[in-house]
Formats: sequence, C-alpha cells, structure tokens
Amino acid sequence: MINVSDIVIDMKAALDAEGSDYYTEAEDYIPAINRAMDHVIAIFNRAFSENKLSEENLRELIDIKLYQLSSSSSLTFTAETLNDVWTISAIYPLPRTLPLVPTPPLSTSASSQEYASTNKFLGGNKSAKKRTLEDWNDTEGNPFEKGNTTIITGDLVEYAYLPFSSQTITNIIIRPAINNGVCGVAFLMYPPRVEDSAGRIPFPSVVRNLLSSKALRYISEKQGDSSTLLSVTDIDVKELTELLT
Amino acid sequence: MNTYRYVANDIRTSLKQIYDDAEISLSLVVYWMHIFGDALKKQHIEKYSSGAFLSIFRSVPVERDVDANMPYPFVELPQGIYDYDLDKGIEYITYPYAYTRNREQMVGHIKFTRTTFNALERLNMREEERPSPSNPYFVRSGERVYLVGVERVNLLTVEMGLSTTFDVTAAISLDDPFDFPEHLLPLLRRQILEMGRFVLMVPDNLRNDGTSQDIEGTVPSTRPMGTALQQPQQVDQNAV
Repeated sequence: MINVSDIVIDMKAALDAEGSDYYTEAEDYIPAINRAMDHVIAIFNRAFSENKLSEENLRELIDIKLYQLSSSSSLTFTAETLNDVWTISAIYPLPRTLPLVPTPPLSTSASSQEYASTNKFLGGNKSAKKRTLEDWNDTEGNPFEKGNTTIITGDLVEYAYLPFSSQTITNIIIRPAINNGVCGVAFLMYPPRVEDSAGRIPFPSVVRNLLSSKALRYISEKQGDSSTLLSVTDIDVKELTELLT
Repeated sequence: MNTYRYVANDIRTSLKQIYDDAEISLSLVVYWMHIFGDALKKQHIEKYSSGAFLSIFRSVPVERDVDANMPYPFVELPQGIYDYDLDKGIEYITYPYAYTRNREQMVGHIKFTRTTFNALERLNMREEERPSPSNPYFVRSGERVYLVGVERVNLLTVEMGLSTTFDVTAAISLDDPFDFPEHLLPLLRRQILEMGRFVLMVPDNLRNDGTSQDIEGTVPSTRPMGTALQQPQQVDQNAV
C-alpha cells in the first residue's frame, strides 16, 4: 500500500513547491496521481501480456469468489459485476472449499450463480487456462492441450476457459464440461480512484517512485512537455519489472 | 514402486527449470513416459525371463466371425502387446477343460501352441500334430488371435498371459504405479529430457514476436546439422 500523502510530498519536493499554493491538491496533485495510476495500469497490462509479471505482484487487489457453473458449464457476469474488475486472473475448477460440505446444496440451475458466501476458497489442484476464440476449437481434440475433451476422466484432465463479452454480459465457458460444478474465480480489481491525500493506493510500495514520477509528468503536461506522456515504452515495463522482481 | 505422480512431475519440473514459460502438460509427459517406456521395457522383457511384467487376463471372450467365412473362433487382444519374434508377446493362452460342478472354478487347463496360417496345412498332415481340442494352436493376425482345433468346442472364454504395452488411452490416476523396471528409470528420464529439451528449443527460436524482423538473440542458437564446428579462417584480403 502506498499513502497518497507520501506521493504528494514526493511531488512537492520535485516541483520545489513546498509552502507554495501554486499547485493545489484538488486541481493538480490528485488528478495527476489518478492519471499516473491509469498509466501504471497500462504498464502492468503490457508486463502481464509479456509474462514479465504476474498478478500476484498486486496481491492487494486480488479477490477470489466461488461460483456454481450453469448446467452448460458456463459462467455469466453482468457488466455491473465486472465494473471494478481489471481482469480475471485465474479460474480454479472444482476447488476445495471450507466448509468442505457444500452449503447450500448444489442446484441444477441452467444459469450460473455466486456460491454461498459462507464457503471459502481453500485451494485446488487444477487451474483453467485462458483460450482465445481462435484456438478454442483447435485445441478441443488435442489430448495434450488444456481444455481438450479427449481426456475427461482421471488425474490428467486439464481445463480451459473461453471468455467472450457483449456490451451487457460476459460469458465464460469452461471445458471439459463441469456442469453445475463449483469453480473459484480470482479477480484482479481496479485500484479505486484517489479522492484526497488521506487515501491509500493498493499498489506495492516499490511502485511509489514510479507513480510519483509519472504523476509529475502529467503536471508537466500543463507546462508544455507532453511528447511521451501517453505511450507505454519498453523502458517503462523494464523499470516496473525491475522494481517488482 | 514409483507412481505416475513422482515420475511425471519429476520430468516436468526438470524441463521447467530451463523453460519456465513453456506449457508442458502432464498428459504430454505421461505420453512420453509411455512411448519411451515401451521401447525400454520391450528390451528388458526380451532380455530377462521374468514374470514381473506379465499381465494375466482371466476371461477373454471368444468370438466367432461367421460372415468372414473363417472357421476358427478368435479372441481380440485385450490390450496392445509387444511385437516379439514368434509372437512371444503372447506368453500363453489356455482354456479350461474341466469346471467344478457349479462352473465357478476351472480345474484344468489346456495350453495353445503358437503357429502360423502357413504352417497349419503341414500340421494337419501329421496325426500327432493335428489341431484338436487336446492339442490346440493359436495364430495371430493383427489384433485377433485365432484359436485352431477348438472349432467344435463351446468355448466361451480363454485365459491369456501377455506382455502388454502401456495403454496411452487409459484414464490414469497419478497415484497408479508406473509399471516399469525401476532400474531403467534414470535412462527413461534422460531420454525424455533430451527429447523434451529439443522439442522446446525449436518454438523458442521461432517465437512470433509480432514483427517481421529477427531480433538479435532469438535466432536459432544450435548449430545446424552438417555444419563445421570451426569457423572458416578469416582471409586477409590484402595478403597476396
């Protein structure tokens, strides 16, 4: 966690604006910090896509919920449910839960639903792999790919999921089918927007310097230097990776 | 005995030491264990006369193919077997010649002798070798084993002792014992790792990075086969 006030102090020091009221919290620091957070999120996205970092680096933002799949082995989320979700980090088919006995008893519903909040995710020995629209079909018959339907019993069953969205809902299909089975979904949540300097940012503390330097660049935008503000460069990713590894 | 869990995870973990981003599914490692294991196990059984890897199938159903105009009853091999010389992958086939009164237990067996379709004609010419219920033969043709000499016997099942291969399509529990000579595990492990490293090396070199240009360091790092180890000596253009 990073205190917003610490970033503001860093920025004031860099701007040599201590004691000055030229930059105000509401109009300068907080908007710049929020935009810097967006920028850092973009850097994280690129680092995730290049397998340079994993979502565990943002453990403060991870939330795991249990769902019961529909009778056609799918999960449906409404747009409201995913409003604050940055990305779905992992799907754990048939996890161990606490208590072990399902409460309430599993239904045979045609639609998916959130599982009893009294049950906690304990772990499991399977993770589903995210597939693309293109390779979803290609991998179905390949017994060595996750999500194949050739090996559907025994310990070698390996799951995959395919997300696809419309404007209002997001559907996730899990294969091989575990109709009405329970699965855990690990969400990476967006960090909440900063309202004032009393807040905290749920990023690792090592990102503090990166965040404050990016925020400074947004303030400097007003001063005319905006040449590289909106692009995510390899240097950004390298810097973030080095900070977190 | 080692289980699939230990052997497969050992190999996968070892491969991941080098290629940590590689996707190596456990089903792929188990498949490699089976195909490499078959090659080594076949040699082991050939070399040592031991019952350690003999699979016994007590009641293999006997079928009759009336449409194919084949007079002999046959059995389908219940599992793949090693293809040894003289069909030695079939250790024995017997059928009971007597049951207890309630037909629950067999009390005597007659063993089938191996032959070929080619030799059958000659066998029929000699009284002491002629196929009969007391002197039956078997002939293998693909996955079928024809039973010669028992055409007039109401034979329902036979017992088979087979040197079976691994069944790659069977549902595996990782805690099942891996039916393989323990002392050959280091060899199996090494063979799979060598092959795995070769397989994993290729896609890394041909990584699709979204550009049409080679990036320095991603070109194949192994020496193409047939090329010399030594670099050709630099020729001094100025030398005469």
